[in-house]
Amino acid sequence: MMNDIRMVDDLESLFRAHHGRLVRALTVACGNEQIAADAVQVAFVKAHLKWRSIMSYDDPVGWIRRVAINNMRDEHRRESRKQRAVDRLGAEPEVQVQAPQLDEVAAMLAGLPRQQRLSLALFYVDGLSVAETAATLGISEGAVKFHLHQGRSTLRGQLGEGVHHE
Amino acid sequence: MNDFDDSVLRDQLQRLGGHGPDEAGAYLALQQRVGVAKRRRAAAVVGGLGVTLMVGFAAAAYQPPSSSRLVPANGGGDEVVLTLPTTVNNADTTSSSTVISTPSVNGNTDNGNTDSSAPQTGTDSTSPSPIDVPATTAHTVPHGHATTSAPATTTAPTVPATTTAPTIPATTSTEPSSSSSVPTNFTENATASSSGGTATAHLQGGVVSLVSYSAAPDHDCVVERTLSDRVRITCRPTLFNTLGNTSHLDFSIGLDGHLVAVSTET
Repeated sequence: MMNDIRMVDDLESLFRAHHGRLVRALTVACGNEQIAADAVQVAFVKAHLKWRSIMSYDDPVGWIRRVAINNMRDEHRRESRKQRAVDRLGAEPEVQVQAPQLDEVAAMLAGLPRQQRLSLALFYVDGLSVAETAATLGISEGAVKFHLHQGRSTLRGQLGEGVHHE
Repeated sequence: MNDFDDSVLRDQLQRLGGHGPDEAGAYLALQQRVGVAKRRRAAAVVGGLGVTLMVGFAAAAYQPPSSSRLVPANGGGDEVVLTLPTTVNNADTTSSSTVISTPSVNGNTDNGNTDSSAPQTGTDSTSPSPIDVPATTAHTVPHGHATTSAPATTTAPTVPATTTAPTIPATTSTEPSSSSSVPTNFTENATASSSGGTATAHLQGGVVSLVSYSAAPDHDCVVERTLSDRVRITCRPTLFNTLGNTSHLDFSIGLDGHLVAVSTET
């Protein structure tokens, strides 16, 4: 009983420490805060259901982060299939109730490849290191550096003076 | 210092990420979703157990049509083994000539004779038999055939009041140790009783012979079949007796080589 309470306390502290930051990072990556929040929450639900085994991992937050990213990708694929089906039927595309309010940076981000967006979001918003970003995305550190470099170059070129290298 | 540190870009991206959700509200929503997921998982487990139990019961109740059903050798599903050999005398080798040979039928059936002092061992050739045994009939029954001797009626078996528990011969320990084939050197008698009468048969050298039989009051007994490995006596009620049952007294050689007596009433 005490162990259960401690487990729940651990998960709650983990939730309060990482949930908001992870939602913000995935919002940058996917451009939709609702989808990002849902993906992160589903990841925490899965972590809650199998917390006994996850708590013994070296990096439980890393597991939750990867699950959240996978959920976000699944949602993206689902939306893509849905959109293709609508296009095949020749119907009017479904009007999104909560269309993301993209500003200039968001519009530029939306034009980047998915891996570059994720790398930028995890590195700059979630505060991960290059190695942690590589482990989360399942790619090499060199690939992460390449994506970061390409993403920064694109954004710097489009924003001009707004984004500059220190 | 990291090569990719860029405070301006960091600020821009963090601003794009928004303020983030309400942590308290998000945690409440998380707990609700966890509760729903737990209930759903419990329902799935219960459903899976139910399906497993149903499949298990169905598999247990299923009997494939090709499965064999055990049927007695003579096809009588209503037969009950009543008695086993009462006397075994493997050492007796002189009794064969005194018992087996029987005269032909003379038609004399002693209906009133219920003498229970019929010879049990069959070794005394001088003692008069209550009834003469007829000669071998014309019936040819394939040995071991399952249906040729099945009775015409299939009513439920009635166990006569004179049934006795099977008794294992005390001399079975003297059987030869080489039991790879069915031994045929038993010499023993067996008696079967029913409401219609009593009969005694003798086994020697793998040959079954009828020693004696007697009918109960208001019954007639006839020897229906006499083969080398089986004997059947049928006892029927007399013309004025409408209450009795027709009974069969069968003697045959069992799988273990002993004489088996079976009484069947229909």
